[in-house]
Amino acid sequence: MLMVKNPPSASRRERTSSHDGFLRYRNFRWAKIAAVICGISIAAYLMIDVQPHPNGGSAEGYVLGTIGALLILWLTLLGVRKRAMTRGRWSLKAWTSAHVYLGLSLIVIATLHTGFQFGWNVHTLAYALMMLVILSGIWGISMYGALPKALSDNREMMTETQMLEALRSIDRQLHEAAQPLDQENADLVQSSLEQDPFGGGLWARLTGRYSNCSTRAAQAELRRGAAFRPKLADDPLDRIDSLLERKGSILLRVRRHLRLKALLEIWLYVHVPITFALIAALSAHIVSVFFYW
Amino acid sequence: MGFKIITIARTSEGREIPREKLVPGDQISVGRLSENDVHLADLAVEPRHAVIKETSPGRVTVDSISGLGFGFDGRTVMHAEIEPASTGAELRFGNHRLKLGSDDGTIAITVERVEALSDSAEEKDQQTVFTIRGLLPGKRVSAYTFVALILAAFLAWPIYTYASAHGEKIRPAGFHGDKTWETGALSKAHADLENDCQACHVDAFVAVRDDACEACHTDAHGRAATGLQRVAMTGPGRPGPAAYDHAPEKLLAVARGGPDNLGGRIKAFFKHSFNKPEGRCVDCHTEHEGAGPMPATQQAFCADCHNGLQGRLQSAGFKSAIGSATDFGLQHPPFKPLILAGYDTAHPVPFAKRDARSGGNPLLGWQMQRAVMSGPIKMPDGLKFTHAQHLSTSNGIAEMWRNVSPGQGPGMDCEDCHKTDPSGTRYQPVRMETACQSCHSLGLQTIGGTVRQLPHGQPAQVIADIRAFYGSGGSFRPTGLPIARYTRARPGEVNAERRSADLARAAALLPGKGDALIRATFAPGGVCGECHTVGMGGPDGVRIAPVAQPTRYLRNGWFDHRAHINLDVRGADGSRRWGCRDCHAAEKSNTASDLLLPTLTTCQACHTGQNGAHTAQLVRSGTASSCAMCHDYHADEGAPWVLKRKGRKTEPANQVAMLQVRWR
Repeated sequence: MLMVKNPPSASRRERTSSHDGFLRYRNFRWAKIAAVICGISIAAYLMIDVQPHPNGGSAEGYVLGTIGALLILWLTLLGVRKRAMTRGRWSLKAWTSAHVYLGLSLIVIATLHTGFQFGWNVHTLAYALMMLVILSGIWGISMYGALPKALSDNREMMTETQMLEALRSIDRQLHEAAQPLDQENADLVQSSLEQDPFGGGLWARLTGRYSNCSTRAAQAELRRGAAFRPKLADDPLDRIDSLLERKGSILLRVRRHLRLKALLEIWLYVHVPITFALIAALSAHIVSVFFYW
Repeated sequence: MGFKIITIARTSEGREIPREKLVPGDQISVGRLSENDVHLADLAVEPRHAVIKETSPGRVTVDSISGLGFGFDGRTVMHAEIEPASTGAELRFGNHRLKLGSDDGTIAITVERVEALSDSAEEKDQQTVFTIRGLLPGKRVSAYTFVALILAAFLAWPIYTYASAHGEKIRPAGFHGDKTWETGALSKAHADLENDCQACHVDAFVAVRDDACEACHTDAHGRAATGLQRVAMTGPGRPGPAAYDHAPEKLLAVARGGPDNLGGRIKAFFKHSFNKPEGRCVDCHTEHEGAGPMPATQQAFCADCHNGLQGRLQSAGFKSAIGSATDFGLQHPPFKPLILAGYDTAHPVPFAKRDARSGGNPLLGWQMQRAVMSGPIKMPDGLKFTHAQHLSTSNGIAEMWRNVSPGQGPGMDCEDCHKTDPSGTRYQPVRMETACQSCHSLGLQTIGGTVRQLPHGQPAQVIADIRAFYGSGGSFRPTGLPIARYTRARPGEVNAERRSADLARAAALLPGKGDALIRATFAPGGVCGECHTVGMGGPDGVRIAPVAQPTRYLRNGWFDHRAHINLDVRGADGSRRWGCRDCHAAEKSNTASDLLLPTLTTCQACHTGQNGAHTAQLVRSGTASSCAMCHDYHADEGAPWVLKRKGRKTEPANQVAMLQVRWR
């Protein structure tokens, strides 16, 4: 009886237990809303014949411009909103979902607002900045979709602390093992020790290419020097070589980790500051329109 | 003698753990190998790096034996001499620091690692080291920087430009900050103003007003054209074309009515909220639409106001006679030609001022009025002329015409008298001398083969000439003979001579110095009185009623005869069917005061407006005729802008295309 009376409870439990990301929130509710807004805007744009050609000063231009400006301000508020997590209809997830899809609809709204008139002026600057913000957002979302699995695969249950500790350990061992070496080889090992595994700049981070990796250079150089030397039992250079090999593989993992994290983070360094640049340009745009009305 | 070597290690908490070792002798070695007295586990140190020797009590030399130097007082040296007891010293080997001092006569060397053995071993902030923080300027910093830069460049600078140039007549050359606000290039006509935003945007937050336009575009009567100076001063510019009003502003406001759709209401809301008044020049003449010719004024359709205009005006209390119009083919008020409404005899204008031959204006002194042409109307113009009589092919006039102009057709045709102006647009007034006089001769006397003519237009002179004619003769006796018949003779030189001989003979018999002839000349049916209405009296002895022939009746519309004379409208029999008489019912006009203007219906037979093709009567498919074919918003004396723009004269193809209509 009870089961029959309350069948929704089961489904509710099911729904809450399954993860429903902000993109699929409520079966793409906000995607649909955004699509409707875009559809109406496009239809209105096509139906209203603005002479001599469409521009932001027509009736539809004003409406689209107002909607666009308000939307930009609201979208910016996610930065404030995300610091307070709540549940329910106005949960952060709902808010984020709306942020994503309404942000995308801005492409249509603002482009129609321009009437496809572009030039070297503050108005097009605002538009370009807005597109930059949206594109960086799209980039960010696609990275969030693609990278976490790669990140986790690469870590293989290793934490960042453990990665750092592994580096320190291998460095200690290298240092220890290199003590008997002559100065030339010792310098090679030293160069590996002295290089900052987190260095290399933004470009190296994003590409994962560290062309001046001292560890690899030291290993190659040591091998070159050892190539024609007779093999000795218990040669410290052999030990150094295997340690450098190990350090190389640890570095590879760390650098892949760094690259993936950099790809995950970099968009926000565009998205957030350019949003503020956009709001500044938008203000200038609006003021200028009314200033020289 | 001897060295005390104190090696300091540190616990993870940073506490020091010193270990001491005494080395006797006057020399110790420093190096990475464990066999050294000072053993530095440091890859930056040579296996056998240096030797420290006590050369004399209290005096020490340090010598590199590896070829690699060491740090001494901040410099890298190969050799150093030190007095540990007095000055002490710090040596640097790789990542280690050796402090030399004196301790109870022995030389104390404190050895301490001062740098981590590897970079990774250094202290790292795990929160940030795995992120890209630090590799890029912080988000907050860049956000503030961007905001500051953009507001400075695109808001503060333009406003500064505005404020610093406010009130200047012409802004100096060079780049001005507010150029970054420009939404699009100005049209070719206004390119001179490209650098001078404030030429039009005079006050901040005040929409462009008509004053700004009128600074250059003055009205037709050349109001003090302050703005012309601007054009002249900025280079090879011309004064702007004159701006004319379309209608009084009050009427315009009423005529416009309220916005009737959502878009209109939205736009009205914005305009109202942000102080953008309606009806300004720039409402239609939009700018910043890109370089090149100014775009065609947007077709804010005439009908927006003129549809139902009369009702709106009347309900607003205006007594305007403007009719409503939607489309020429469907709804258009009847023509209202400006016609002569009688000569103002109370305020007569001397004939000299009205005489076109001496540059006068025949319309002076005439009262004019707008007549409504809902049907044929009358307009007495001072002449007694009937078109039907003159166009007949069978009456005496036709016979006379065939005599005078053999081979010129069975009767007179319109163009025998009516000549167009040089542009072909409309017809010049008919001139007595060129059109009438070949039949209506003013010959008085033949002297030596030359016909002496009475002067046209100078009645006093006519009287004088007749009196002179008699004065030069001998004695005259009254006969009462054919003076009454001194009217019109058959045309031609022969006839003129014969008649003047008759006159001379008859006159020789007349008494009274020609009074009878003068009376006969001016009497109805006489040489003058036949065409003119003549009254007696006045300073000249006679008063000829003024005559005027307006050349343009439709003042607000444009009609071009030239566009119609070559009309290739062919009837079923292939003959050309279109001529003057198809519109002007001259053949049926037996009254002098008939005004032979065609009515609206006549035009509508071909011109079906933009939407009224089905109303075409004369042609199969109507000639598309929008308002702009005949009207301009800013109407002046010239052709409508649309026609001018088509380049009628330069491109006859336009005309042909326009006129290719087929007989129904």
